Amino acid sequence: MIEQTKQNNLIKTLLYILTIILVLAVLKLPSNIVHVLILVFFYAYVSTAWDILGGYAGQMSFGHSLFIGVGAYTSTLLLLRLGITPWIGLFVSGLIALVIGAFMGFLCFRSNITGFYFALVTIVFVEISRYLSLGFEWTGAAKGLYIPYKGNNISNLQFDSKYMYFYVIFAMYIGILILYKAIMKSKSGFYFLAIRENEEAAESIGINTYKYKMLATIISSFLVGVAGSFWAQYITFIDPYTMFDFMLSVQIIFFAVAGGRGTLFGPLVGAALFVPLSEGLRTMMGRIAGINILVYGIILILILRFMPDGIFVWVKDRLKNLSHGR
Amino acid sequence: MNLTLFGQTLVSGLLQGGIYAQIAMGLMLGLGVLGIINFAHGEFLMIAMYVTLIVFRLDINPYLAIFISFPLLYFLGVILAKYLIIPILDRETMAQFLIMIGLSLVLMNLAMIIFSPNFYTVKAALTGKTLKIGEIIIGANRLLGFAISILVTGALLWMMQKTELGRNIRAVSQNRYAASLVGVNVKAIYQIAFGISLATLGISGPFLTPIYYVSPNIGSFFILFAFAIVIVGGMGNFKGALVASFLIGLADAFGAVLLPGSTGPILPFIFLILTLLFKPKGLFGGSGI
Amino acid sequence: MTLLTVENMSKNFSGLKAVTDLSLTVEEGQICGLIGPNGAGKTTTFNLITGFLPVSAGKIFFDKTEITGLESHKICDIGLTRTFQHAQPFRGLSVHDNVLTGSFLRNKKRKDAEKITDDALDMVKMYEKRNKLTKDLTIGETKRLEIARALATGPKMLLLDEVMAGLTLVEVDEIIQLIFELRDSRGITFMLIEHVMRAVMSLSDKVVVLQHGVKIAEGTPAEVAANEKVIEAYLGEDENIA
Repeated sequence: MIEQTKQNNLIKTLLYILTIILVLAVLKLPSNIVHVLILVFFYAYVSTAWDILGGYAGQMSFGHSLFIGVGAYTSTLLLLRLGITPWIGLFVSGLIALVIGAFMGFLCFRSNITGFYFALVTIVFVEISRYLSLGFEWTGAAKGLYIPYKGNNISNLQFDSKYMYFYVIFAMYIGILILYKAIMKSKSGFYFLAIRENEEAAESIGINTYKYKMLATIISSFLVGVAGSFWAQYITFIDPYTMFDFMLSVQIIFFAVAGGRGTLFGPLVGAALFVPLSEGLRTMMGRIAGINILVYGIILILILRFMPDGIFVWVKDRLKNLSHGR
Repeated sequence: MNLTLFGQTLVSGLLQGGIYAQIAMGLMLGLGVLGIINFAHGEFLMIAMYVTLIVFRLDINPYLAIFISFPLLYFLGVILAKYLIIPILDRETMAQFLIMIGLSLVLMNLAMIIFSPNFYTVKAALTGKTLKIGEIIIGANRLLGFAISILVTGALLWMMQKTELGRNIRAVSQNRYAASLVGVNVKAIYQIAFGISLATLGISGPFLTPIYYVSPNIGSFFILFAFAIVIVGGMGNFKGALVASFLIGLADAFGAVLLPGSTGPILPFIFLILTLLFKPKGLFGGSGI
Repeated sequence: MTLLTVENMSKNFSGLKAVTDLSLTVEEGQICGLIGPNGAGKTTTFNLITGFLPVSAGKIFFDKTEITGLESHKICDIGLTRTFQHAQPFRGLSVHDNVLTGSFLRNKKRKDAEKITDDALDMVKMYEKRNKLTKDLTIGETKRLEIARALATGPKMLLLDEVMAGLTLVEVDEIIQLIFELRDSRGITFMLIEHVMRAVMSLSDKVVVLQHGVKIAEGTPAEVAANEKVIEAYLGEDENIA
């Protein structure tokens, strides 16, 4: 036992050192690779936030792009229309996403709408938001909103190099990991799991399933709302079609499920494997419209069909079989 | 809003509702029996529409496409049930849903690659002809599409209620295990039911094609309304869904007239949210087939 | 002191009467058996008392509080916890984590909850198996796990729904011992639905007999066993009351 703990500690220390080296190495990487890394950590962050509700509490939101969109629009409108710094916008975005998430949760959970039907309602919410943002000049309508570059200035959350954006999203990811881990160990975390596994049994041991489903929803929507603001600041252009996008919601879930949902690093594994893939597909096969998403769809079907617990577990099982051998 | 516009909107809402009804019914048949929402349901209508487009381009009467699309979609349904859906029935809902979304993406983007993202129109014998009742004008194509949809819906309901096959389908959807005990071949019923669910689109597809533009995205246009109908109607309640279809159709038509700019399509969805607020179990409560 | 009072409780399922005008009381520290032929409405009675089903008529009081219409988790919070006829553990969680989930009800801090968990596991003799997954447990172990999880919520009263069904003779004896022990050392009141008559007769201070949702007899095990209505109700059933 003690030997094993020692070994684990050694591995942990090595991992920390490796991470630090990698993070420093980003400074030396070409900017298109840094861009992919930013995407990876952005999606890992958002997928982890989704996983609190979808993986941990077991409520299938298929509309998490809603909160990215809400976050992106909130901070951008605050900035463009009222001149409020994105740092405050970030927080307000989270709060507005939280309120919308709470409304969605209230609609569904108080009358026990779960499973498919909850998923459908979340999809409908994204649709409504897209039409709303399309419908008004104030939100930029179909033209979208453009965030002008006002120079490298941390108080505007604007930087002249991609590295800084990377460090911001990386720090956000570390933050969400710590939070996720804290939830996993806490009473709420166990209650989320209990709800996922068996709602009736959860009620029988005194868990207010409605309250805890709401809690998971608002934590998740707040965190994703914040990420939406970061995203808008990074890509500097938002429009209804790229923000309130069903495919975006699917990606968020896919990364978590493919990597292994309800696990700490599942979303990161999923994002690290599939963001480069989908970026690669887009650049390689961009000439024929649709082919990248076609390939993506096929991979999605195959993985889910043949690796029910995600790639992480699948690989682990294969390795186990190999070592137990023959 | 004057009386003519009101009448016109009312009529077009009801016509639209009839078409939605037929699409939602097929979706609910699959849901009721297999317990899976076929996210790609709209894409199968898309397939029927592209078949009609090809037939039309070959200078053949587009309505005759039914002789291809009907058997083709039934066959596709049986195959998909057998090789994709039945194997994932005992998997968790999340994975099922994602797989069906994957299927939808594959079909939609396959269409985009083969036919390009462009919009195509199909002209049929009735194109351009209209029916005038007072000041209200109804497109003849739309009326035919509506009539066929109602016919398909009626036939589906009749089959479910009155035939041996329908009884077996209902038995399986209520209790798989009990049905198998009394000698129903559950797997065969799954395949047939899913086949029928898609075949309904094969029948109506050729008649709907002249009304809409054919494009890879046509499926997602319909599926969202179908989702709204399933929830408003009361999750699994067929008769509720029938009524909900017309309500959603009306909301759709009136939204386009009453709401500013491009926000029109949200009225059906607002209607859905109001339903959940005030009648959380759907307008007609949840129940079996 | 009377802990649980059910007054004229009825339940209709779309016209079908599952429970009719049922009244009963359970005194603090009592072990009350609820028996009756299959389909007599026993589990429905449990579901009504614990708020898993709404009553059609009647009132329920627990520990001087009316609990009619309360949500299940609130009823558990007041101190009335149940187990299920078909055991419902949290399948993806270990034995320890299953029980820990119950312990959190009265312990916000993880450390305190852990203590309660170990104690509950110890009580049902599952401490050695705490790291097992629930899918690797035998029926008997799963039932004991359910009791431990319910126990961890710190109940005043436990409703056990057929905890002895499917157990071996030795296991039945262990559960009987466990129930006595919990009553004597923790002062927990019990109501049990049970088909294993030997257990009901040796455990119960009082037995309530249901048939077609109606109470047909009530009394000490001996009284009930001698009751003609009860004997008649059980005729044609495979089981024998004595």
